[in-house]
Amino acid sequence: MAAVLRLWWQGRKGTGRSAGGRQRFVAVAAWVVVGLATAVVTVNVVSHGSTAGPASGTSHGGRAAQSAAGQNAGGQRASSPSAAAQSEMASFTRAQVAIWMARQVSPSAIVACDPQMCSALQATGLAASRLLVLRLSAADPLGAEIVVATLAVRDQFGARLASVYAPEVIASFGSGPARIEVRYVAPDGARSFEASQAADRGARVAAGQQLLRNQRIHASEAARVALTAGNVDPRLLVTLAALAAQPMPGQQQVSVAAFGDSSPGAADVPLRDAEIGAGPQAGMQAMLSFLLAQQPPYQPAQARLVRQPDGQYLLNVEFDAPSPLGLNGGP
Amino acid sequence: MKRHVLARILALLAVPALCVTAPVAAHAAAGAGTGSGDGWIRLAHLSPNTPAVDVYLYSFGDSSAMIVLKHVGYGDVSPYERVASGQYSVAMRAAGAAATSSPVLSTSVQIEPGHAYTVAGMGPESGLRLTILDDQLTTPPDHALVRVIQASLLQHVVNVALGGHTVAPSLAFASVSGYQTVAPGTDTIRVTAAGGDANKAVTLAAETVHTLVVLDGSKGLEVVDLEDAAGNTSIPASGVATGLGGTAPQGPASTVMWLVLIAAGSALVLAGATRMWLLRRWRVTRLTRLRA
Repeated sequence: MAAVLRLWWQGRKGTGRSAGGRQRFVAVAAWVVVGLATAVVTVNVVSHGSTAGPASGTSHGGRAAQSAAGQNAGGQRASSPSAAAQSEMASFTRAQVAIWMARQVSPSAIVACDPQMCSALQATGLAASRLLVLRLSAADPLGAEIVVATLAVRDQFGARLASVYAPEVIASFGSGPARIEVRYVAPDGARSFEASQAADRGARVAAGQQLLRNQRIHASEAARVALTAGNVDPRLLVTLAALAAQPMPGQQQVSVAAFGDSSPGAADVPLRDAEIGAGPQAGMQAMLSFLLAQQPPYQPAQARLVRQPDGQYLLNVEFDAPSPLGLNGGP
Repeated sequence: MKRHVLARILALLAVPALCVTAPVAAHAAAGAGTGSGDGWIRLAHLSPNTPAVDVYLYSFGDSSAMIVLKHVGYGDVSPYERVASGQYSVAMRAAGAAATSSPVLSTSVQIEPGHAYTVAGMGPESGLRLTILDDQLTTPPDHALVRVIQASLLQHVVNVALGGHTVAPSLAFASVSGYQTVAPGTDTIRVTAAGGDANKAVTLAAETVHTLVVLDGSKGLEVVDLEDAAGNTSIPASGVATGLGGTAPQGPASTVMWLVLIAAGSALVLAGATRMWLLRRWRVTRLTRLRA
């Protein structure tokens, strides 16, 4: 619950631009999901003998819930408190994923999910038209950009999920059977994706090194390490180069304090957020205006100014997931 | 008196001297920052229903190396600009927009040493995208290369033939054909579409590279022949020979041109200053004689 509160609080903090309405809706919807999950868990715990999922045996969602509740596939009854606890954990993890997806994933991305997960996503505001519900008959998750790999989905596609369809984990929540991975679906297959990914990292390294030579850009030591290693999202790199060329009142340099990671449990995805500044309000406001004028794919998911105790301003900018490939490439 | 005049001359010379050193130093710094060798880039507005735009190129490694092209309209193709190799962000802003409005980032391009690129705004206004084309600069011996950009919105699909040889069959709007090797000579480009045709005589010299652009003209289809390169020199043809124009750069494109202009300016200033000094000296001598 503490994690949910933290996520909710982050949601409240991140309402600095026109997407504020969406953020509020997400926050409210997240509470609804958490409330529903809690109610389901309560019923499970009280009844102690009822089936673990609301649609057991008829959908993946039922399978997922059953699996999470002690691998009792086949409609067996969850007869122990530990099964109930696991079911609660599964519901909680789904709620976490739903909140993260609503806040972090590109609003245009099609998401493949099992019925139970899809319901949770819809409850946080993802439009039904963006959801590709994975029935038992689904041969693959292709057609979606993101697949939410619950236990049911992992069971359904087996090793091919990671090795063929969706090689990259962009976020991961929970552990054990309740673990849920958010994966990027590679439309041209894993091998092609890995080649593109390697080329992209090389381009990000080169771009990061060039930015570090730019006299109008100052980077903290941590930011330098991230830029040199090619760990920064290409949209941030392109944006920083443009920001450095803009006239900023009272500002001689774009100062990058830190790059951040908004993808829990993902080891090798580019850093999608940055903290720029601090600086006087006029210069930082000019940077914010530049960011807010951008269009996809360079339109940030969030951009806002934060006043510091010393009166200076920090600019927080964050792009949504997944990081696109090929933006720093040639023709 | 002499010291005073010399100081003036030195002051006058200091300005062009600064002009000489500043761009050269900036160019050297940009080059040093991005490795050896420069590349080439030009910009093309090929979106028929998109108003004119200002285009900005921001260098990752050197913010002072920004390139700005003002008021680029449909059909305009800029001359090639020589730029330090490296990564650039490309942004656009509606021509005539308020100076305070922000350019909108559109794409980024990696310029490799010795390579030439066309950044082309293509598609309809609602789906405008900047496409980066890798321009070929050399040809097989004794041949020419031709490719076609289809930028006509009125005729969605066109066929392009050179003489009797089809160089771009069924080319859809906002797409680019691959390069075709053709025999040199003078021939007719024939563009055919469901709703209209266009013909144009072109001369394709040996070892030249051409981009044929199909445009919507005031009286139907038009074809423009851009000579991208000649002589297999790895240096693209400077400027546009077709009269598309409209995108004159902010100053001479190459460092050599800068140096020639600045040297000429310095010579003029020096000559003027010397003449002033001689005139003044003559006047002083004459006055002294008269007083005597």
